[in-house]
Formats: sequence, C-alpha cells, structure tokens
Amino acid sequence: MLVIRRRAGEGFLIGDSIEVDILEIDGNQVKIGIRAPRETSILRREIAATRASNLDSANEVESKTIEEASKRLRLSSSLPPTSEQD
Amino acid sequence: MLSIETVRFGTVSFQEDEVIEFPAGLPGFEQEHRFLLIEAAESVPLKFLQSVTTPQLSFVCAPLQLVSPRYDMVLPRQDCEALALSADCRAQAATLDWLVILCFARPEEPTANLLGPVVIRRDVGLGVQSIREDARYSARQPLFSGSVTEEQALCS
Repeated sequence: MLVIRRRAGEGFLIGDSIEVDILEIDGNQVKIGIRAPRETSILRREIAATRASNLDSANEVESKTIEEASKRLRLSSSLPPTSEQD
Repeated sequence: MLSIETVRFGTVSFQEDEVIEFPAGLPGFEQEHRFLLIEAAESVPLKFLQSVTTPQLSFVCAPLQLVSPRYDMVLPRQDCEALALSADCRAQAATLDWLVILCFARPEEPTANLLGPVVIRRDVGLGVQSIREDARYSARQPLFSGSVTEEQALCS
C-alpha cells in the first residue's frame, strides 16, 4: 500500500482524472473532496461491503437451509446468556 | 386486498398498510422501495423481507437481538430522518424493529450483516438499512461461531 502524508489544503491525484483534496482535519475525522469522472463510482467502504453482502443475500436459498438455520438459532438463543463483559 | 406471486411463499395477500417503505432502497437494490415482512411457522425466529415490486426478491433476516444480544444500537442522523424520527433518536432506537440480513453464500455457514442492520418503524411503515460509520461490526459475521462472545461479534 502506498502511504503518503498530507496536510489540510493539500491533495493528490490518482491517474489523470481523479483529484483528491484534504479539506479539513478535525481530531480523528478528515473531510475529503474528490473530483472524478461521472462514471467513477465512489462509495464509502462500509456501503460497498453491505452492497456486496446484499447482492449475495438476494440469491435464492433452499428452504431446507433456512429451516436448518432457524432451528440452530432457536437452540442457540435459548441458551443462557453469556456473562456480561465491560 | 392486494397480492403478489412470490417464489418462496406462492401467493401472498396483504393490505397496503402492511407495506414497509424504504425511501432509499437497500445498497445494491436502490430501486426497491416496498417490502413486506413475512414470517413462516417453519422458520421462526427468521423473517423474510419480501419485495413487493420484484416477487423473486426476498432477504432472509433474523432479529438482531438474537444474533448479537449486546449490539450497540445507534442510528445516524440521516437514518433517523429516513424513519421520520427527530434527529436525536437515540432514545427511540430501542423501540424500533432491528433485523439483520442473512447471507447463505456458503449454506453450511450463514453470515449476518451486523454492519448494516435493517431498522423498521412499524407504526408508520418506514424502513432503512442503517449502515454504521464505525468499523465495529462485520458485514459478514458468522451466525454460528460456537459460543458467541461479544469479542467475536465485534470486527477487529
């Protein structure tokens, strides 16, 4: 992985057509501006992960598989709760 | 009475007020705004989020409480707004229905999306897939990982 250090107000380029600006740094949050061609998809990573998972979840699942999972969930949830942790 | 021909349940009849509206759809399914929440006796406690517009589309869901009993239920402001709740809806979070979508990509080892739980407000028929902005939970948390402790439920 390429690691570069930038300050607020600085930026960098990815290829010829993607420009990234570090707009503001506040504690552990960074505000970033991105200039990219319309067709470039930019997704927060957690949304991309959920999107991929949703697409997989939309595939047909056999009834037998679902019933098995429901049975296991019924069994595991009837177990006494694990002890509280801080 | 309205009805749809579903793959999983055959003909499903429903009233308009049973439809749950997802204003933003779900990531990957942005055009899907209308769902029913269906339960079937043989698969309790699982539920099915069945698309009203696309009869072959349904998601298998589990109550979040059963999958991760100590889950930190936080709703970002934009999701509170999507559910027509006041911006500071932390206090109301526990009164909503929280579900996780299951994935059976490997049928013997189902996973649950704890990163983006589905949150439903039944009284007004609104829902949202609320994606966390922190990285505390995984989008593919194994549903059965032996004795599930909170450490295992959290994403490292």
